[in-house]
Amino acid sequence: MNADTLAAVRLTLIALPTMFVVIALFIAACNLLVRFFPEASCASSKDNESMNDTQSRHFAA
Amino acid sequence: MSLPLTALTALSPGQAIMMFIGGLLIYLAIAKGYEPVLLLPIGFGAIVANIPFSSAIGEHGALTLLFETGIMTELFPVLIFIGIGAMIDFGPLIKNPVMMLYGAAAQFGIFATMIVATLFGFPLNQAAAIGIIGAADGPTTIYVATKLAPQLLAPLSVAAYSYMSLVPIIQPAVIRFLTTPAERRIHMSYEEGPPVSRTARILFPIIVTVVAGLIAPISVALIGLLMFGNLIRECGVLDRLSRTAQQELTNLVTLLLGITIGATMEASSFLRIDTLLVLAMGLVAFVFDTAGGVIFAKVLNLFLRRKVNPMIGAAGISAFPMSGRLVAKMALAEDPTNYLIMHSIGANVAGQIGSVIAGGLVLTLVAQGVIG
Repeated sequence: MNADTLAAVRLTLIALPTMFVVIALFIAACNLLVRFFPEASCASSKDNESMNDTQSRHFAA
Repeated sequence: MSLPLTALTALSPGQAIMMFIGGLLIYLAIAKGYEPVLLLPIGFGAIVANIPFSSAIGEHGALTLLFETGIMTELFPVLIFIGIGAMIDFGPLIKNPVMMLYGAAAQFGIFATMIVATLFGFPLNQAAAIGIIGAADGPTTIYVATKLAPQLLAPLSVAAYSYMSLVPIIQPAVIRFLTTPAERRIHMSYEEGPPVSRTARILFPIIVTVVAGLIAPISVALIGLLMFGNLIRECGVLDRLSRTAQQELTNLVTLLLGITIGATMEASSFLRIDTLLVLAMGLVAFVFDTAGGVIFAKVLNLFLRRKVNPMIGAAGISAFPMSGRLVAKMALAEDPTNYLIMHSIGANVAGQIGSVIAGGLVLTLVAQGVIG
C-alpha cells in the first residue's frame, strides 16, 4: 500500500465521521426550526403553490 | 485557384476521433434525450476544439477565454448553484431531515473510489477529485477539480456530466444487482404533516451556510451560493430574482459551461491513457455511490421495524431530479401501487446537500494539508 493510499484511507476515516456529525447537526437544526417556528396558519399556501409549480416542472416524467 | 485546405490536411486521426465523439454526444442528446442541455453543448464544443487551427480555442480563442474566466475561477459552478438553490424546495427535507442520512450514505463511493484511484497510481489530490465524480454533481466536481487537480478538469467535467446523463442506464443495473424484487416492492408510507413555516424556510439556508461554513470554510462558495439561491426563493420578496436565477441565469451559465467544457476535449490532451483511466474511475465512482446508498438502506432495514425500500438509498446522489424520478419509476414498475416519489425526491434533495458537504470536507482535508 503506497503513501497516497494510506493518506486516502486516513482521509476517509476522518471525513466519514465528520460528515455524520454535520448531518446530525443538520437534523437537529431542522427539528429545532420546525419546533420553534411552526406553521401558524395557511398563509404560506401561495409559497407552496409556487413550489409545487417548480417541482411539477422538474418531476414531470 | 487553389482551395484553402490547410486545416483539412492538418486534421490528425486523434482530432477526427474526438470530432466523432463530439458527434456521438450530440446524437445521444438529440436522438436518445440523454441530458441534452449538457451533452449537446459539450459535443459541439468537442467538434469546435478539434478543428485544426480553430480560432475558438488557443491564446485569443473565445472558448479558451471563457474557460479561464468562467471555470478556472470557479465562477460558472457557483453561479449555477445559485440557480439550483432557487429551484429546490427544501421544505420536505426540513420536515423529514432523517432523509439526509441517505444523502450522506450515497457519498460513500467518493471515498471508496478515491482509495481505489490511489491504488492505480493517482496522487491523493487527483484521486480525491476523481472520487467526487460519484456524487453526480457537476458544479461540485468542477469546483473541486479546479482546486485539487486542474490538469484533469476536462476529463473530470466530461465524466461527471456524461455519467449524470446516463443515470437511467447505470443506476437501474446497480440497484437490480443489489436488491431482490421483494425489496424493490417495499411500500413506504408518507405522512404529509403540517407545512413548514415561512420563517423556518428562511432561516434554513442561513443556518446551513453558517454551520457548513464553520466546519469547512473552503466550501462556502458552493454551499453559500446554493443557499443564497434558496433564500431568494423562500424570502417571498424577490420573486423576480428567484425566477431569473431559476431560468435565465441557470440556462445562460449552463449553455456557456457546456460548450466551454466541450472545448477542452482536445485530442492531444484527451486521447491519453490516464484520461481514459479517469473516465473509467469516474464510472466506478458513480457505481460505488449508488451502491453505497442502496447498501446503507439495506443495513438500516436490519434495525428498522418499518422497512424502507432500499432503492431510496440510490436516490441520495446529487443527480436531481433524475435519480429521484428514476427510483420512483422503478418502484412503480415493480408494483403499480407503490408510490415512492416523495421519499425518492426527498433523498435526492438531500443528495444535493450531501455532495456539497462531502466535496467541502475533501477539499478541507486535502487542499489545506490536513491529510497527506
